[in-house]
Amino acid sequence: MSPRRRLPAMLVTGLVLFGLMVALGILAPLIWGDEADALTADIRQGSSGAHLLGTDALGRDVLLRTLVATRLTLLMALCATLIAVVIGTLLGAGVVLAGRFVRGAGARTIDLLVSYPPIIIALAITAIFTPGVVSVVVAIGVAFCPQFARLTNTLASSVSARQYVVVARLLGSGRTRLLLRHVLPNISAPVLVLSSVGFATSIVSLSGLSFLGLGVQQPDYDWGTLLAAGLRDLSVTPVESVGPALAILLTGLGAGLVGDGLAKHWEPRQSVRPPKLRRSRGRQLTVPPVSTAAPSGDREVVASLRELQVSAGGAPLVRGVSLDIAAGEIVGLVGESGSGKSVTAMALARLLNPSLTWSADRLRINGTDLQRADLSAPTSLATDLGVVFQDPSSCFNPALHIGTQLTEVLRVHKGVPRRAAEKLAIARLREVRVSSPEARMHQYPHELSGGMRQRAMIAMALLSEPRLLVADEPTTALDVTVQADVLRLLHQINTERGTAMLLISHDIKVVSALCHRVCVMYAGRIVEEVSVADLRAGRVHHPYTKALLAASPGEDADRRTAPLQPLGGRPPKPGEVGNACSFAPRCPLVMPRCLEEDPVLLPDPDGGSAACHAVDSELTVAR
Amino acid sequence: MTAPSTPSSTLPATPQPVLRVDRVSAGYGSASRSARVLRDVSLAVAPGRTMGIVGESGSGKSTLAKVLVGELAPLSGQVLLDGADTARLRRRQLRAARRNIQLVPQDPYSSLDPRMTVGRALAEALDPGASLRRADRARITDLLETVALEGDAADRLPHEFSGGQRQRIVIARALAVQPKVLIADEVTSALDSSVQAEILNLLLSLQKQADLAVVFITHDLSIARYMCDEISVLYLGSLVEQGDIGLLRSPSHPYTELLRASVPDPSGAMFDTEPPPVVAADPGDPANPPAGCAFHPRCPQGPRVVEGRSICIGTAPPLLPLAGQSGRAAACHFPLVRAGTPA
Amino acid sequence: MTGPETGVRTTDAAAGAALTVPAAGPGSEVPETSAPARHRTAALWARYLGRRLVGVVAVLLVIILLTFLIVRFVPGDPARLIVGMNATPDQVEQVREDLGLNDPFWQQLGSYVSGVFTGDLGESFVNKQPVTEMIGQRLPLTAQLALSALAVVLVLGFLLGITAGMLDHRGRGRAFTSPFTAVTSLVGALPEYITGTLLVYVFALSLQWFPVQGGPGFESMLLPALAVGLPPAAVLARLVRNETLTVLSQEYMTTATSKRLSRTRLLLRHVLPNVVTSTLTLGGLLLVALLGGTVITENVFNISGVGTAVVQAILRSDYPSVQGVILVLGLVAVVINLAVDITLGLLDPRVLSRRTS
Repeated sequence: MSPRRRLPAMLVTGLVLFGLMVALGILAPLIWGDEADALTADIRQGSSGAHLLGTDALGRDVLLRTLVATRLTLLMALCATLIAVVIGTLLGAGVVLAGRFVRGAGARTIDLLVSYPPIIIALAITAIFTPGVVSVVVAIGVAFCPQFARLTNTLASSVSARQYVVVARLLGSGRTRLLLRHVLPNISAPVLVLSSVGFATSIVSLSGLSFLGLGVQQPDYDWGTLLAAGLRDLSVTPVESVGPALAILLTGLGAGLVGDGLAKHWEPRQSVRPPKLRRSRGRQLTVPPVSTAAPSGDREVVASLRELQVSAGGAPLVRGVSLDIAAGEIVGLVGESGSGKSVTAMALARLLNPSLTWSADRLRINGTDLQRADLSAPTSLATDLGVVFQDPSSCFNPALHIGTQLTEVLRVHKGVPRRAAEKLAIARLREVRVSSPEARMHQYPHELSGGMRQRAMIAMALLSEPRLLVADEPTTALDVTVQADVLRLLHQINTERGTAMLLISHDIKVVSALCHRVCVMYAGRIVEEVSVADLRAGRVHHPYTKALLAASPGEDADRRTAPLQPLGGRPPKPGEVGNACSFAPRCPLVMPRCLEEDPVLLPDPDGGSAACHAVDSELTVAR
Repeated sequence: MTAPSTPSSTLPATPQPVLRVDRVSAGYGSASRSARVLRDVSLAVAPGRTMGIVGESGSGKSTLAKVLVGELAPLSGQVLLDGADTARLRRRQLRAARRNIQLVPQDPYSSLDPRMTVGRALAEALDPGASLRRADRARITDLLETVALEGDAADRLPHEFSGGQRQRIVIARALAVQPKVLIADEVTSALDSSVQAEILNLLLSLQKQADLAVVFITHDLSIARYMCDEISVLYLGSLVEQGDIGLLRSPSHPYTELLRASVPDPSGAMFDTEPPPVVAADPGDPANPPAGCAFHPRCPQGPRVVEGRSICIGTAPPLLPLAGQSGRAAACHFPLVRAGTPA
Repeated sequence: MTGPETGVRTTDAAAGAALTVPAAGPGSEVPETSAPARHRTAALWARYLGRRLVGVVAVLLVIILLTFLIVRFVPGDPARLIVGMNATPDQVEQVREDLGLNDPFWQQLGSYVSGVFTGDLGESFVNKQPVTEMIGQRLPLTAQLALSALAVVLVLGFLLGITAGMLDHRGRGRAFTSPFTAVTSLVGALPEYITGTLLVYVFALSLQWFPVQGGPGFESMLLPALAVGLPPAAVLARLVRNETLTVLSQEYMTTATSKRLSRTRLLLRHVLPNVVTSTLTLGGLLLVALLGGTVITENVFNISGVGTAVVQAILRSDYPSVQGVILVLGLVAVVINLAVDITLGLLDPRVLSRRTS
């Protein structure tokens, strides 16, 4: 990424429009000032060569008058915006710096003021002073103060609560320095953006008041008064309104575009684009890929996935994952963030975000073929498959009762009557040890604690007695004791009901505690598949799996005698993966071959498989 | 299972603590309607030593961190730095004292000013009063090298770095001040496991170099075990157990034991024994904990499981030294006694 | 559970025991039984409404005070402004006496406030009509316009916004998104008086489908309602589109998708309530701003509502009428805000327990 970013087209267009208007404002009165006031006998003429936009009731040229009016209109809008921005910012930011009481009361007062329509505040002010240039500028300026006050207030209080301000305070920076160095720079951009939007609003509102006759008075004129005159003559010379209307619109639009463009330009994260993708085309597989099939062939397979490919805008997230889950089996998918483990699970459950594209040679759950990416998933999935998500605080709909959400699948897909469905749900909540389940049914998700919510989520997933449960980081957001409880619950469900599970986790300890078989994912592929017994014993082949084990503090890790072995570097971003082994840059065993050819999964003697050239000899021996 | 705790006799005599926390209570809200979330917490950390603060959400860990760095004034009790009460210091001394305690916050994404280059952020740490433009480039490069970053990182903005790199920058910034105490608040919980080890080892080696006293706040017991010399266990704002790192292997308080047993054990042994389901009850509100021992509604050895333990409901147990275990204290009417340890 | 019988029993007993855990205080997250839960909801509503009503009363008092002060703030002598420069000092003095301008400040305020509460807002300087009567005659028309505009805003804004959001989310909106953004930003930037002028020219003068003059009845109200409603509808549509996209990307929508519900059910049950909530939180101001648009548009279409009245009153220095209309508009704004807050509370129970607005 080059340090100088290109300005957004919006901003450029806005600035050009705006610049033109300012130039007009400066020059037009000098050039055409007298001509625009010249009375002629051509009263209320339509568009002609002499008068492109016609003439008004006194025979003056509307085009020239519109151009000349630019200066007054812009000046008024500028002054009004300045009043609003300066007073508003002082009020809003000042309140934040004041003591706690003033801060609370001030914010509430600003809130109340904001909820009052500015145009009516402006009307009240123009009523006090006689209508005219000054009164209308003051009226609009004051009327929009609360909005700026509110904005700066919210911004300043959110910035001053940020962690980096706290840290800077610890470093010994004083209050003024904090304000100048951290708070103001971080709010100046949005304030400027809002100022240009405010300028657009000012133009529109000022012209509106002038249009009503409450603003600029004869013989002065601005766009609003010209438009009012145009409206009076609308039936005779409709073209008379075009000039001022266009002028107001273009200026407003220009200022608005500048605002939006600035907002886009200044958002640092938005500007980071993913690097250009290097497509790995025509990759030849030397050995046919091994599917990580269930170890015991005699058991029924509840889920089967072959050669899953998922990509986001051309960048591959999952690159050829194959996976079978047998009835009653718990399979773990482990990997770091961005390894594609959640995407794989969501693809299996047909819950991928629609903006992602995917394909698979086979995708079956419980015998149902789900392979066609373009068809929506059949409703039988709702009962064949239960899903538990990571964050129990966000996976319940906040607007619906727990009971409504729990019983929905039963009622919609199985036609169970409401009472019966509720009874079943309560029984299931009791089974997963949710306390006072009857009361929970009538509560909203936010009224439950995190652990309760996750248990309710599991109850919901189990309600239709699915054969397969997909659990995507089900304990990551939970406390340790709650995590242990949920893991025990999952274990119990598996042993008592024989529910097969696909458990996604970044924590290799969680996976090896609960699962029967573990697949390690790296950069969108399964790099190793291992039985849990081998994983626990450390009998793993792939250097990445070894590194994961060595980096996670276990029972015997000791900072003096057995320090953790960190894994340097970082995983590749989607799209950075070429023909080479994606782990090669971080791999201690890297060989020239690794940079030329991506290894495929090969079976090992223990019944697992691994994809690594460096350990090929260990693997192929079995054949 | 129970490994013997490190014999303290083999260690050099513990030096004088640099940071002492003496019966600190803290909370939020106005004076009239305050919600106390931290009650009577005491601890001491010596140079070169690490005190681990362990507990779940609502235990008061983050509140304690805020009190330690001076972001939140304690309602009662004292925070003593080098023997001086930080609440009684005058402005200038306070600023110096504050610089002596530095914080590495949890989220490396929000703890760097997005509009300030890394070099300037470090320059601010070196001398907050000076102009950031004329900062000492050589020292900044040095600092970046101590955390294994290239010198040219100084001219880049935070969003150009990965989470692990950002956390290293934050650590470099905290160490630029040459503090005596470092508060590490869940420093690795936002990072991937392979990066986690890197940050932990970096902290350890930097601590060794500077003889830092570290307060290491974490919810992850295995990380605490790796990083710390001593442990304080918090439950709903109160200390329930305190002592050397050995307490994590052989806890005396039932809550510590519950925490220990909850760490996912790769062997899957955690499924062999089912704990009494009381532990699954909701912990309750930290601002308004259950009467008596705050843990009693969930305690597997408490009044809901064992007959005749009504004292746990009526009386809050004080934090008392445990007989026969030097330096260990627990707040429990019925501390666990283990085979092999004298009762 | 199908585990060993004894195990099951202990589980249940213990879960039962957990019920009797002393409930934590009022700030607690988890009420234990359903009856207290219902009480709690009622208590939350009481507190929520109580806080809002305090705000309403405060704003009303401020509005009453400010409208009263309009006359006090007038530079120079309001009486002189009313009777004109050619009047004799006696005439001026007479008007001062009529207006009560010679009374002490507090007495004036007192009689104004008591007038407001008894429905006596004085009489117009211009035609001696009681202000209450004038507002009574004109307010229904204004209300009709504002409500029609509200309908335009809500129907257009939500329909367009949700459709755009859904299309965009499914990745089919590529061709649709840029025109949508362009059109909505253009229309959203159009002031009511320009929309109004344009509508009059096209539909009233050129096509002659609708009358130029606005008034009661569908035909004469349609153009004004569109003039007031179109720009905010465009803004709302953008807002709704963004909120729809946000809601669709929430995890609970993935949960809902995992239930394989019909598209209609997904939309009505799971998407709409959340979109309405978040849109109202952000867009409540838009509804209040409709009032301002109504005032201006009445003047374009020459509708005899309170908007035309207040403009004429300001131009003629008819202070009692100005005070009356602004007071009433303020009242309406307060009522709209309250209605928005109550709707929010009904739609999203979480706002009830939130500390500040």
